[in-house]
Order: sequence, then C-alpha cells, then structure tokens
Amino acid sequence: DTMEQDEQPHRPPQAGNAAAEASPEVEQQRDESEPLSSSQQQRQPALQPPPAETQRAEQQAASSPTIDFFSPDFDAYAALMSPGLQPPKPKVKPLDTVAQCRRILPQEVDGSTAGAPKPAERSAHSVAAQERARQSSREAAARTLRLQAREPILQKMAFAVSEQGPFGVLRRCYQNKQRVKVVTRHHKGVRGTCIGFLMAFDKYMNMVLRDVDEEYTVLIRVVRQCGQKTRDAEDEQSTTGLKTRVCRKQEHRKRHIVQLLIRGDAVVFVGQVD
Amino acid sequence: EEEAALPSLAPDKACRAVHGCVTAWQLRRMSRHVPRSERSLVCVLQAMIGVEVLVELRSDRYLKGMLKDCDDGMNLTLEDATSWSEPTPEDKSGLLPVVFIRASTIRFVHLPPDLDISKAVEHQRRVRQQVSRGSRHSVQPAQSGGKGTEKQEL
Repeated sequence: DTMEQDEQPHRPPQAGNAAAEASPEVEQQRDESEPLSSSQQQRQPALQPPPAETQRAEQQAASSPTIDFFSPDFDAYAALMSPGLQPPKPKVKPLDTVAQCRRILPQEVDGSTAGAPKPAERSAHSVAAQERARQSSREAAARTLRLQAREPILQKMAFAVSEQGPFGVLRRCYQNKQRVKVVTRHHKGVRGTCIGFLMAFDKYMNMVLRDVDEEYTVLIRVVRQCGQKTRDAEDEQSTTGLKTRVCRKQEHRKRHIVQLLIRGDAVVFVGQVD
Repeated sequence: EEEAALPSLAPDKACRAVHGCVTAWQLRRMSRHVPRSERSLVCVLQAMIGVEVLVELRSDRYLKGMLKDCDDGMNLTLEDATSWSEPTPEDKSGLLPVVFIRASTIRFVHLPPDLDISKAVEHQRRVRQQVSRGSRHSVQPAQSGGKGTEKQEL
C-alpha cells in the first residue's frame, strides 16, 4: 500500500498541480484535520470494476482529457460526476485527512509536507510513564470487577453495619441464616410477630424474611346491640331501649407467607429463635 | 443520577497518558460510590418493577397491583391496583389505574414466592451499569474513539 502511495505523486505531478490551481481557495479554507468529503472516500475502496466498465472508462478518459487522471487538464469535479469512473489504482488505502495527503504530495507542490522532519522520538522516560499509568488503570478496573463479582450487594449491605451493638445481633442472624422473630407494630401498640428466615436486611432495619409464620391482631369495629335502661322520662314509650354501640375488638389471625419485605419503621424488635 | 454526583469526566481533564481511559483515582472513586438505591433494601423493590406485588399498608389496607416505579426512598407507584381492607377482605374496590404509595405508609410488601432476591438485585445492577455506560457513549458521540477503547479496557 505504501509503495502505491509513493507511486501516485510521481505519476501525476501535473494532475496535482492542476488540482491545486483549479481550487486554491478551497484548499486554503480547509482545516488540516478536516476529513475529505464522503463521496471521495466512497470512490476509493471500491471493488475492481468488471473489465467492460474499465474499458468504457478508459475510452471515456481517452476521449476527454478532463477526466483523464494523468492529463494536465484533469478536473476532479468532472471525474466525481462521471459515473463508473475508477481511479488507476482503486484498491489503494484511502487518506482520511488533508494532512495525510500533504505528506505524500511531491515537495515542489505548494503545501506539501513531504520533506518535513519527523517528530522527535519520545523519551524512554515518557514511554515508561505512559505504560505505568496504563497498567495501574487496568489493575484498578480489574480490582473493581473482582470486588463486584465477589461481594453481592445484599451481603455488602448487611456487612455495612457494625459487628457490635444492636445491629451485631441482626448481622449474626444473617450470617448464620437463623430463624428470627420480628415483632411488628400498629400506629399505637404491638401488632404481632413474624417468624421467618432472615434473607436480607439494611441499616434501616428493612428486612426480607422467608417462610414466615405471622400471628397478628387486627382491630375490628363490631357493631353490638346492648340493652340499657333509660332513665329519661321521654323514653318511657320504648320499653326495650336498645342502643347500638360500636366496639373495637382485637381479632387474632394467623397466616403463612413465603417471602416478605418488612419496612423498618414497622419493627419493634428482632430476636433469635432457636 | 450517579454521573451528576461524580466529578465530570471531560476528556481534556482525563489523564492524556492513559489513552481514552479515566485516571486511576477516578476509577477507584467510581468503584467506591454506592448508589443510593443500593444502600438500602430499595434495590429489591427496584428489581421487581413490572411484577405484581401485594403491598400492606400501616392502616391495615392491601393494595395489589403491578409495580410501576420505586424511587430511592421506597415511594411506590402501582398500576391497575385493587384495594381492600384487612377486617373486611371481601369488600374489594374496582381497578385503580394509578396508585401512588408514600413510603412511610408501607408496612409489608409481599414478594412473589419464586423470586431470588440476590439474583434479581445483581441483575438490576448490571442493567443499570450498562445503561449508564451507554448514556456516556451517546452523550459525546465525537469522542467515540476514546470511549470505545475505554469500554474495552473496563
């Protein structure tokens, strides 16, 4: 590929000149790193056209000098506009930026950087520093991945609490996968108990229990009719003065739940169940 | 949301010597940063978005519906929920299209029995990581060369 690239500037130096003369303003406006237009890029890496088309193109080139790549009257725009026209070496690697083109232009052409001295070699110190930095970042990434793989989130959450103190009890129950008894509350007073295996917990005492046996109380409004003697003289008409009273009764209920998430502010205390 | 809390990783500030990658200390900080949802059991509920759950409120009320959203404070949004009361379970309400549940009113959340919470939580974390990496790619398309190598290195 590099051989072919070197060949190109020597074959059509006049073509390069013609192109430069044809559009000097355009080249000056262009930035060094501006990529070539997409149509030019598409032209380069095309497949080898069938022989009939190349013959036609050659005939075309022979007929009009504007699209003959090696003629001094070569017009790049006309070449782009003519369909089926292939450059002499279509398999050459495309040049993405104007800077790359400048490097292979012959030195006589304006704007060529062919004879420019190559940038100084990087010092060994700089190369070593870059390698060290790359290595450390790779190690850090690997460490992150290992940590993430080794410690699942729920376990990390459980171990985020201290080993001593109240949460130490919870942590030990979680580690030993023990059955715990959680007492829950109403807005006023104790509601009931949940006994289950502690699957996960956090610093707010939210818990996930499995295989839960819950015994709890529900406050129910019961409408009762109770007889009462009326003392007022007005009620003498009604002999049986029945009064309906709304009593609140505590009803005990039991149930079994497979998996339950308990919010921390409903918890009164947590105890071990042997 | 996680990206906003971290220092901006603008390419000109990133270590040039490490081509296309963040600096080592930034990576360490990112690995230490635990998102708010993963600091509590909210991550379990967030892993259950799209699943039908039964929420028991402190007022002895039940709400059964599809979990639409769960935020970092455990406030829930249910879709197409039915509601009934503990003392009178036969008296069920009609379908409520959208229900917002304040976190402080929740007592229990009955999870589906076949759900493995640790697997669900890990899966959710991986999905969230992929999403966050994808958004970084899409935010700066011009730096696609650098970001591509970063993805490979991580």
